[in-house]
Amino acid sequence: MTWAVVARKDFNDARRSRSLWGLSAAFLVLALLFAGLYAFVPEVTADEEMSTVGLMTFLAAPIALFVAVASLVVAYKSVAGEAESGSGKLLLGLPHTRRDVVLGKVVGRSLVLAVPVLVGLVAMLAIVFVGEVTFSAADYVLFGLVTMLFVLVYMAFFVGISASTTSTARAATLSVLALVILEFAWDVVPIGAWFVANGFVVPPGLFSGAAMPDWVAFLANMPPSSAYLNSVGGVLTGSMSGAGPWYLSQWFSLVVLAVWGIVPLVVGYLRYNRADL
Amino acid sequence: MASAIELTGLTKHFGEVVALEDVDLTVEEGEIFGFLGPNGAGKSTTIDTLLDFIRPTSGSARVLGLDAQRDSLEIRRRTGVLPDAYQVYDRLTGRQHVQFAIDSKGTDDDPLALLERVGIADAADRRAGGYSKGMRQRLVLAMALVGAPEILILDEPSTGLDPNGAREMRQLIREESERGATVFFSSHILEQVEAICDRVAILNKGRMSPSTPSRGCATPPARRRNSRLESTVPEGAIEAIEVLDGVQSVNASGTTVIVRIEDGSKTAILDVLESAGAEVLDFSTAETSLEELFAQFTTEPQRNRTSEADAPASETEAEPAEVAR
Repeated sequence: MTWAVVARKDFNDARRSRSLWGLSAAFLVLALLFAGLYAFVPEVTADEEMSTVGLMTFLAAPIALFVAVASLVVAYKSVAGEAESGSGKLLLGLPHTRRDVVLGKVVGRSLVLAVPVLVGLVAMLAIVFVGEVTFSAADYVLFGLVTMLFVLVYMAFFVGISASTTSTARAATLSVLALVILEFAWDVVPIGAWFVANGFVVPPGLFSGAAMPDWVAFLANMPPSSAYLNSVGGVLTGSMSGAGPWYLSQWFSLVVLAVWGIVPLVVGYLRYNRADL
Repeated sequence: MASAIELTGLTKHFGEVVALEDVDLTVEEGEIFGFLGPNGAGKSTTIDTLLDFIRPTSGSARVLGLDAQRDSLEIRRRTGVLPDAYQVYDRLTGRQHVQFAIDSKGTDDDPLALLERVGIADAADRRAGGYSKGMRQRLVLAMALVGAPEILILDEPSTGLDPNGAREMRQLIREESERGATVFFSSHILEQVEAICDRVAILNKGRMSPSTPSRGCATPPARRRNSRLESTVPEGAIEAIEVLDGVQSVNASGTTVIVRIEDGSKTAILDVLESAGAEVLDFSTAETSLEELFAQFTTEPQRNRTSEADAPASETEAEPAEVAR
């Protein structure tokens, strides 16, 4: 098991990349901007009292989007790039299994993204204290943990895609396609499915905002970001089971998150393991 | 004792393209083995198979007695690799590269000492992205030397090296061999192979040379001679020469007779010819060098064509000397 060696090499390599520093700076600015908005411009939220929970809830959606895009940037070349450039021959000429390579990539690149996210979260503390936001260390830590899990999941997802092909162009295409579908176009999936299931008739309540059936709600909660937001909500309110059926609960969103990480990674690994380099 | 490398019927197809066809090869422990062939012959494909970068269509590859696919990790623990068409990690320093190899193999080598050995210690803390081609080659060689491997697999090791660098590379290969390592290296440059190899094999278009499987540069093939005679060729003379001791082949074309022989039977050939009534106008011999073997094997079609075209002395036969009477 030499995945830790691969992870360290990968992290050392990536932390010297300019794009990582650009990414970190962007996240820092983003985090401070949103925290500042929350703390000093009360009009952006309806919160009567500014609190850590309120701040986190406010922050979760932009963080989710940032992590999704940034992990694509950090990960899409991780395995395919080494196969294409020939550095993979250097890597696999050394005694690593291909499983070690894939695992090492997930861990190394997750650290690459986790560091700027953590730095951003810590930097926001300054605004929390200056802006008289009620501070709860426990909420802060819980939010940080779920966010780290989310980083790991998205990184595993894109490393899996990268491992499934030996062409960086194809890895990029697949990754962008996946990102667009999951993060920007997903809304049409539950609605479309509801429409189809209703016999191609617009279901009553589709546009009036009436509650959608549970299974449609489940579909809507499926993308990694939605699962993350649902989990964050559960963790911060301390209620993981919710009121609806089990598959709409917050703890199940954690399971959905894990599936998003594991399945593409396993599929990508299996393809990589069979491939001629 | 297991062979260091053993290929049996190794075949690799990439779709329609046949990269390797039924390759058999044995490399004994402790020898320096030159793997020769023109570009595109399949040398890298063979090496990639040894390292499990690619999987054979059929046949098997064994390294250090282990199966190249099933036991790849164990093989790579005990092997030093300088691959072909690799790329270094631009953002990591030379030292970090070697340290990565050390960590990967779990040895306690000193990265700086290894970089010293390949002559780039002064660039240890510079990013490898700024290295010249030759420095990269030296860097990856240093990575290959980590852990004093039992076998070194070097794919075109002199690529990017100037003559001086190539000489240092040969020196290093000799040192490693003296330490007891088996060295298997590929090259399309004859001089590289001739200069240091114990034995050689030639690969062309995915097939092993039929004339040189596991025959060394310094063993029988090199002592084979071509004798060229300018002579009128009487009836029955060719047949009489063919049955002589040590004669491998006889070719007559116009007034030129080319006889391929092992040691010592040159005068016997002359005797036979003259006693058959031939007038020998000219006579010359030439040792078949590795270069000729290489040329013979890798340019087979052209050679046949020219020898059929009744040319009294065609240069593709590669006999250097021809003495006029």
